[in-house]
Amino acid sequence: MYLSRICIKNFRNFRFLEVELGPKCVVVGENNVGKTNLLFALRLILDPRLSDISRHLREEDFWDGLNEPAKRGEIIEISIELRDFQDDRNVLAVLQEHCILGPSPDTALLTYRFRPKSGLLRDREISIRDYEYHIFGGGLEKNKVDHSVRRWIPVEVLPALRDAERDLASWRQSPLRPLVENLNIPDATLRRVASRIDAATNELLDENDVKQLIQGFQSRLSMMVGSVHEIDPSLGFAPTTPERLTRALRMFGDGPNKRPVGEMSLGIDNLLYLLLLAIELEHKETAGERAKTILAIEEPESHLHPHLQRLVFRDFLHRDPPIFLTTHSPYIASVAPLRSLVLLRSDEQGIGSVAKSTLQAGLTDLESADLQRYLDATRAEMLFARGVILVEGTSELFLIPAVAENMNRALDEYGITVCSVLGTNFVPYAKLLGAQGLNIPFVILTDGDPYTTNNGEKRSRGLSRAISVAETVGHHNPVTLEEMHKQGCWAELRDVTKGSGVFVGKRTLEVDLVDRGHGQEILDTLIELRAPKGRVDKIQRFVEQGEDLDETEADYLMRTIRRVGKGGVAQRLAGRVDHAKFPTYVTEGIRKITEALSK
Amino acid sequence: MNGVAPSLLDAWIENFNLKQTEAYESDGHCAVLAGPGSGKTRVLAARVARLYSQRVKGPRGVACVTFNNEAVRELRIRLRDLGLNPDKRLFIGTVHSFCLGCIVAPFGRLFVEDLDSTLGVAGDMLKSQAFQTALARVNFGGNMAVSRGTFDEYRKAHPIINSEARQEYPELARLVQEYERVLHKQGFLDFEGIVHLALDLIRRQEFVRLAVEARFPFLVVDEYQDLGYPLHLIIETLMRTTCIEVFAVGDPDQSIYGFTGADPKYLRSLAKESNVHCISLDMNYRCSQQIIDGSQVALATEKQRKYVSARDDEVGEVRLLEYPNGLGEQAEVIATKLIPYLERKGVPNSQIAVLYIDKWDGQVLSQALKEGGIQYSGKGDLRYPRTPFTRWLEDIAAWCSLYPQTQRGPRFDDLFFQYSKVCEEAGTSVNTGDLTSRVEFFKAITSLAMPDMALHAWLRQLNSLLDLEGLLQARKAHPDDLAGWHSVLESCVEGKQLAGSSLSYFSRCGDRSDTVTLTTLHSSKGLEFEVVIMPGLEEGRLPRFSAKTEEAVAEARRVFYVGMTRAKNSIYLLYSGWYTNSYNRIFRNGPSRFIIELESNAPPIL
Repeated sequence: MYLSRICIKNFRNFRFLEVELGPKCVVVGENNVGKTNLLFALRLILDPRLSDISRHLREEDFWDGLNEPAKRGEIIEISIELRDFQDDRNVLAVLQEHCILGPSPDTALLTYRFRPKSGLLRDREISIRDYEYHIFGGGLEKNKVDHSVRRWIPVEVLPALRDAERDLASWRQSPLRPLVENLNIPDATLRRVASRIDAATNELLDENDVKQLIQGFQSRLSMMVGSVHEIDPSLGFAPTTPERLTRALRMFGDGPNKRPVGEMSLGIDNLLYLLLLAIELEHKETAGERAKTILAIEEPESHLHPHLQRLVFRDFLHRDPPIFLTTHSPYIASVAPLRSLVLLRSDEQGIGSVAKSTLQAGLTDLESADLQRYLDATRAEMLFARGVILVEGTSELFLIPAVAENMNRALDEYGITVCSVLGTNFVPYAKLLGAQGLNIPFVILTDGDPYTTNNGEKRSRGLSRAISVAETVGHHNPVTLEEMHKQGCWAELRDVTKGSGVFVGKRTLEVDLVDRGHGQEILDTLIELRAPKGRVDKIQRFVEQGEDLDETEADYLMRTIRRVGKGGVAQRLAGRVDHAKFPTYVTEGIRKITEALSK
Repeated sequence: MNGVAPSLLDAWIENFNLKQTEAYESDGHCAVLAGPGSGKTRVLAARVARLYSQRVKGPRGVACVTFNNEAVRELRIRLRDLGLNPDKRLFIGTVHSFCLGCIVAPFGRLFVEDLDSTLGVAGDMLKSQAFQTALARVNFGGNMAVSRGTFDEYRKAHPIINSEARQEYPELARLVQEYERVLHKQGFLDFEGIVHLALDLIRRQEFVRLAVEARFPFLVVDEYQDLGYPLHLIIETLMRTTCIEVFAVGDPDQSIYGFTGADPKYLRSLAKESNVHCISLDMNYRCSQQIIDGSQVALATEKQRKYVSARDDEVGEVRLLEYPNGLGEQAEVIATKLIPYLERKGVPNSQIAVLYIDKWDGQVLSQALKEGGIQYSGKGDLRYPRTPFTRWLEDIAAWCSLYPQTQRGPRFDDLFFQYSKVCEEAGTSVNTGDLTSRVEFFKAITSLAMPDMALHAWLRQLNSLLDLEGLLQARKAHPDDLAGWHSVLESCVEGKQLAGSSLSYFSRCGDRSDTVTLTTLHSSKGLEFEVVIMPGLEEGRLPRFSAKTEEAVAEARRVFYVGMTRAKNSIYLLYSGWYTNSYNRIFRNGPSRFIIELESNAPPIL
């Protein structure tokens, strides 16, 4: 079973949110976009610990954009869809009454609705006092979803600011408790251990200093409260009655040193907490106390070292139980299965939050696997950007932020990330970021790379790439674009693909830079990086001609740059760029995305 | 939280005989053939308690189905005694409510087009309207129109939707389809349709089978002999295709609902299945041996049942009384001699039952009892219909007559739950967790807690406080309840049965402790009395003149058998040797052949 869809109307940050989810769900989003509210929405339906009073919402729980919502009789509605439980008899037993027409019969719909009571008199103004909540299944209010559903299929929420250290230390809160309580230790063993502890304790208590200390307690106490109240304080390691003995069990870390968990780092405490919880949940499901738990963890990254984050959640996210977690952490996002990612952010008007998931991006399995590896390697930085510039390689990574800064449009200020796709296939990225996917604004900057076919026809690899991206993001007539390409109407074609966010250069970025007047800056860089003098001189001659480089010259330039190191050249050159002399496809691309984000 | 009280259960089991214990304990499919008075309800309740508390785990549970609302009521009371109340994991209801609530309502809309998600049970009016509409739509090619009777019969005979057999007469098949479509479009099903649809879903949808198995790994069926073919087929299909464990209880000899399609052969065939453990409960805790023997003669089966009376306290009697002047004389004797005689002997009125063949005889008898000044009450056919709704009204009346000492009466929670269900189905919110609506309801019924109040006034008051009529009108799903409400009201008007009765009288209708019971043979099933009086036993009446086939006679025998086995101590069988029909035509066929057989006290040769 997994949570396959969430739909929220008029609740807190959400005017209308609808998102399809995969078997795992990792919600990524900035602060204040409503990650906690999203979890609370889930809890309204499935958290058995939430009280009736908390389920009864208040006027301030309506979406902020609604004016006097109660008076107008507005309705808050939260629906979740659960899918794929046919093989789990316990879950099937609980959810069968709530099934709806879906892709398969084992699709259940559970809804929370906060609405005015029915049968109210029409001539009276409605107020929030006239509201009541209903939780029901299958889209039918009469199909009550009550404690019996929440009991068997609960959502278990670990809040962000939990105090793992304190919870582990207190017996009542500790996730260790249910595990220890289920231990089956023979009475004889308990009695034996208890008597040994008793003996050890007595040995210590026999020490004079200890004796004096305890006598001190006792005499001061009897002065305070008299001798009637038998409090009789003493010292010891653990209770010595066998039945209380197991309660004194604590968790230790750090191997033979046995440091109590509270003394270790917060991160380790959190990790141990998660460990105990995971074991407890498994235990409850096997013991038949629960059918399935939906584990919802809020910002699990707190205090955890990045490497541990990656390791722990790679494990968590690839196990069976349904998991729903919210995170700021690129480390966690980077190990999340690609199809589990959900991006939460403000909508375009900035009046509510919306969610987009990778599930509907239309990625093929291969593309999905490629992207997964890419996100893993790049620490998922793309997912945390407000806008993305996709480029081919490392040169652009250095040069584009520099020219943007030079244009007085520093990318960081806009929350734009430049991502190199380390190759030339932009299509999966366009799908991932496009409107069907995460819907993150993006532009693609790519070289023209012209070439001549075997038939002697001129073509541009860059334009071909642009056409396939245009097709992906939904350009209506890719055939026409290909026709323009063949017939050499390249300038027009470039203009068209800009509409789809693809900006195509003439040749290679460095060559275009020389053509547009960065010749001297490139020469200075080459000299600085000790390029062979002969080559520098030759390139100097090309530059001094003042014309566009011809093919052989361009080729020579590129070979020289490669010899010195493309990345290195770009890195140095970055300090010398001038946007006025930069190839226009780049500056236009930057302008487009920065303008899109400043709306 | 539901929980079986172990000490109570243990106390029950301690008193079980060997066969009862076997039926309580055996795992796997079981068929329990339970003779009259064999304590089967107790065994069944104990078995359910065992399954619920020991064998099911997690959110899975037990479904316990029986045939009519009265049996459901009794079973619920028994289980409540053990600490079990119906919930998501424990279904206790009629087979029809099981088919509707656990199969058709949740899954119909997933697999059947045009099926509304809120389904109601169609009343007679809707059914005949739908029939007329369907008839107008289906072209019978110049043939004369089909009668309702033919249609009903055809439909009953072909329970499998889309089967080849159903296509035997394509026009009729289309008529059935059209009729059902008309009902579905309005959000209704009839009883037949519920069962047929449930059967279809079970047969064709693996998901439905998986789901039913997931929720109810144990299915307990009471009164199996009352099941018709489609219901039997549902049970059989579930046994064959799922891991559901079936526990079927019944008595083929007490199968008397042939007119609904019930047939004792289904229980017999189930009991013969190789994977079904068959247990016979032979000990009769109700009837004296003489009555058992007499009833065996009446049943006239080749193989005698080996029923043994558990009683050794009294010698029972079967008395044949001939009154040559007809039913009128029989009725007069009952009212003026027999019942007073029994009273003198110390038999309480509540232990006397007068069981009659049909309404026709019933009218004569009730008139005579009235004239003889004998307090009597009956089930069903003489007054308003006894449905869960009218039962609920009786329960409110009972609560109101007991208030404030309501501990022994119906529970307030149950009354309120029922009320909130009505409200909800009528589209008015009553949040059961909400205190205000509980308080409102409490106030309303306490304000009417006057046992001596006239029933008619009480009902009017109740209606004005709770707007029952409005709710029933708004509630689409159960049109029959509105009819039930009206007939209760009507029976209060001058000259009707409840005219001038008090609220407390009404509350004790049906199960009164101080009146003679007057009811039909058919609805006497499941009851017991010290003395049973059966008048009107004439050849042509029982078995009916029209009963020509062997099966029809066998069914009549079973009806007679059921009547006889209601008695603990004494049976008085009355006859004249002739009877009149409604046109006052006289038929002189002699006494019922069952009487003659009893007289000669030997089973006839078949």
